[in-house]
Amino acid sequence: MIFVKLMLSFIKIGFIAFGGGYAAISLIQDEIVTTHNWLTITEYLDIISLSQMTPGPIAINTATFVGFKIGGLSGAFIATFSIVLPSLLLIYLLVIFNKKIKTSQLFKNSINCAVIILILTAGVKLLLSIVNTYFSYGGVIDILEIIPFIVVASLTLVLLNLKKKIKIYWIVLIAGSTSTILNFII
Amino acid sequence: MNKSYTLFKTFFKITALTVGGGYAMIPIIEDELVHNYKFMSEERFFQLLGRVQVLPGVIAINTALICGYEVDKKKGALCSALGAIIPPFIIILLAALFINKFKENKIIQSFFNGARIAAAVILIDLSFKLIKKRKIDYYLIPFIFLFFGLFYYFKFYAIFILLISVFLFSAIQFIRNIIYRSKSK
Repeated sequence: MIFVKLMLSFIKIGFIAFGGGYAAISLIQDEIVTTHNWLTITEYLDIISLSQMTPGPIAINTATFVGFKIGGLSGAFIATFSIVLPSLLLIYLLVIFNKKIKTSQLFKNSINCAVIILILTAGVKLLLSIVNTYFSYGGVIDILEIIPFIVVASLTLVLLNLKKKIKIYWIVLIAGSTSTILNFII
Repeated sequence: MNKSYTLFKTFFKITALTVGGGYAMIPIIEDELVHNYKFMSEERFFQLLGRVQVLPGVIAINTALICGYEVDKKKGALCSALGAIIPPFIIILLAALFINKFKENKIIQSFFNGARIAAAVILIDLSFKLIKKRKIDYYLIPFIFLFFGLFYYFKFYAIFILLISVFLFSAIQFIRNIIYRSKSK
């Protein structure tokens, strides 16, 4: 019975999670912690921080983790599958619908501008959430702690704007490794 | 090589290594599909992305589904989505089993910290590059930053950012066209 409830909860979340992972986090919290009391808020906060730290889409990570906590391996599978199910349906409808729309240049320009704003917003939010962690203890910045941040951020920016294009995939790996090395030096 | 297999492999690789959620993956997905494998033009990619943003759900999965469909129809869509789901699923299961050791591991932690900083910088860098690449008309650029500021300050959900911006930018272009025409007469 709990599996059916779990499935319905995550299908619902998949249908209403406008705005991606960060929106999904609060929706999952409403369902799992507030409505069903399957997890305590502390357990859920642990899950969120780990979901943001590990690779992968945040909503998938959170769904898998919550499912695992509630119903083991099958719970993880059901939660992950259920949150994706609405996407399958909606994208299929979009693709069918798409063929019948012809977009004007004006509309394309508007979409382009909107996507730029979305990407900029996501980037700034992520960057500020990282910067905020340096202020968490009494609002004082520890210079030694912020050095790795500045080094990794500038290194990424330089690598992105080199004449010779480097694959972004490698840039992420280089940034991660640099951070690890700095962590040992400082 | 088989297109669907390439899609599976690409999305597998991306979700296995990208920290920072769906939006952080977009520049990497673009890099792989557009520049590396040349499956679609850059313009087409951002067109699809714009349409996907209106829908609810996991951004990375929606992007995988629609790009997969564009490249290799239903088979491509399913292979891309599976490729995007399997790595986080396995990683989270392992993390759930070793949650305490994982939290204490300094090497893993600092690696992901660095990767997260990179993800944020990549996104901001991309948004500036797109203004140039998408040949956005000069008179629209101030509005992009103005609306960004407003949406950010008032903490708008992505869906509203998208719908309101599309409406406002259409209105701005429409008004500008009218003024432009009446001037040229």
